Amino acid sequence: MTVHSLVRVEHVMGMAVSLDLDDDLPIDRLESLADGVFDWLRLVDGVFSTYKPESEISRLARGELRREDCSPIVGEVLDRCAELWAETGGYFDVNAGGTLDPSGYVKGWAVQRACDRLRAEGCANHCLNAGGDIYVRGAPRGRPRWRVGIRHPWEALSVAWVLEVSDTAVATSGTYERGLHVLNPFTGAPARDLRSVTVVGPDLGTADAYATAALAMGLKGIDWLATLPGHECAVVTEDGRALRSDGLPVAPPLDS
Amino acid sequence: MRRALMALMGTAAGTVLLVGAKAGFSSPQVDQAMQPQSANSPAPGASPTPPGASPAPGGALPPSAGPSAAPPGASQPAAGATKTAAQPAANKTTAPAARPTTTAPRPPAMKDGTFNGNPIHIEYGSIELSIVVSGGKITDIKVLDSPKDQSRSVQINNSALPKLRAEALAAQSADIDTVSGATYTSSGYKFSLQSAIDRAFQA
Repeated sequence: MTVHSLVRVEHVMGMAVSLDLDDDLPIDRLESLADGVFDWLRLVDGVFSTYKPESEISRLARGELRREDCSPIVGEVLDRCAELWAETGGYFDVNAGGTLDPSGYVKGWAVQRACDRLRAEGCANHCLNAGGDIYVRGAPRGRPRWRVGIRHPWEALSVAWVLEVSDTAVATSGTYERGLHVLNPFTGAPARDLRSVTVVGPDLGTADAYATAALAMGLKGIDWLATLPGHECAVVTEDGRALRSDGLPVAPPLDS
Repeated sequence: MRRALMALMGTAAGTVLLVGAKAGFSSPQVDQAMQPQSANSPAPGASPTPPGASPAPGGALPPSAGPSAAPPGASQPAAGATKTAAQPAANKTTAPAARPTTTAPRPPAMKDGTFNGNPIHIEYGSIELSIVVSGGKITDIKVLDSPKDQSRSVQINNSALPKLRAEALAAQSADIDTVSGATYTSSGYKFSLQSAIDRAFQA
């Protein structure tokens, strides 16, 4: 009897997205589930990309489109972004760069949606990683939970922590890949004190927004992260200090 | 008179912050243990501060604010500075008060009473000083508990309870299924651990 699973990597939304479907389903069923995931991500990109002048979000930002004329998902995303703005004391700000840009939430939200749909379609064990932001459900074959590494912010081939998680979102924001790209919305200055912020929680869009907000806060973000109910976190500062919450689901050492 | 008061306030605030900084120096040097062994190559050029600068802030900006109840590992960079700044000063209100009265030339005509100064804005909110004038002399300087910024200070006090735990920055290559990291650029992806794992899966 053949045991099936499927891994697929595609470039969507300007980044590498890898999908791991670990349910023992017929291979054509797995293929069609994967097609559904990537079709959805491409659809989201078409609506929300700030790099595409014809996207709804670009036209909305230019004032060529009214919000009520946008797809319902645009309103849904912007409503949640407004809540996140309040939850983060204004540090998660879709207008921080001067024009409307909800990308910091859209990616995580889209991944979360894709994974929720996979579950609804009978896929209980999967991992979707969009450019380093991850949702995992169930477990890979042969393990009790998924093992998710948090990248070491100076050594690209090492991890600084290993988590063991199920049904969990892991989002990391950092300055080490794309430079100082997160702005403090109150000063307009690029955030540079924290090199890597990882937030673990039930929802990837929220976790991603929290991680970005903490990065924007700078050192104050460390204390702020510690107060987030239902979320765990790991931080590396620019001067190399590593900090984490007590409840971070760090993996026990593997038996060898 | 208003001028004189503001000048005085400046001195008092300066004293307050100095006391805070001193308190920071006496705190246990937790930070040393946290210096990453592996991070002696922290991204050349990426950090704008010179490499020698990193030990210094450990002392200058008190990272863990001395005798507070927070767990020792917890780093509380800005909050620590603020709180130590306010608290020791409150215990020592008489010390800064003594100096102005003796050394400063007597202000022309100070009315008796208690006068509040403008709030001084610092990291997590504001502190406000009040002076007590009696017989034309300042007899006391008090630090009021950030009266204008209640909600903010409450929030900070709460956040002082749960702290993040500090630990050594590890560099490990473990058996993992996937990697969370800052969003890769397309070129960076080629070299990323994620792609290596993806390929291993596909093999």
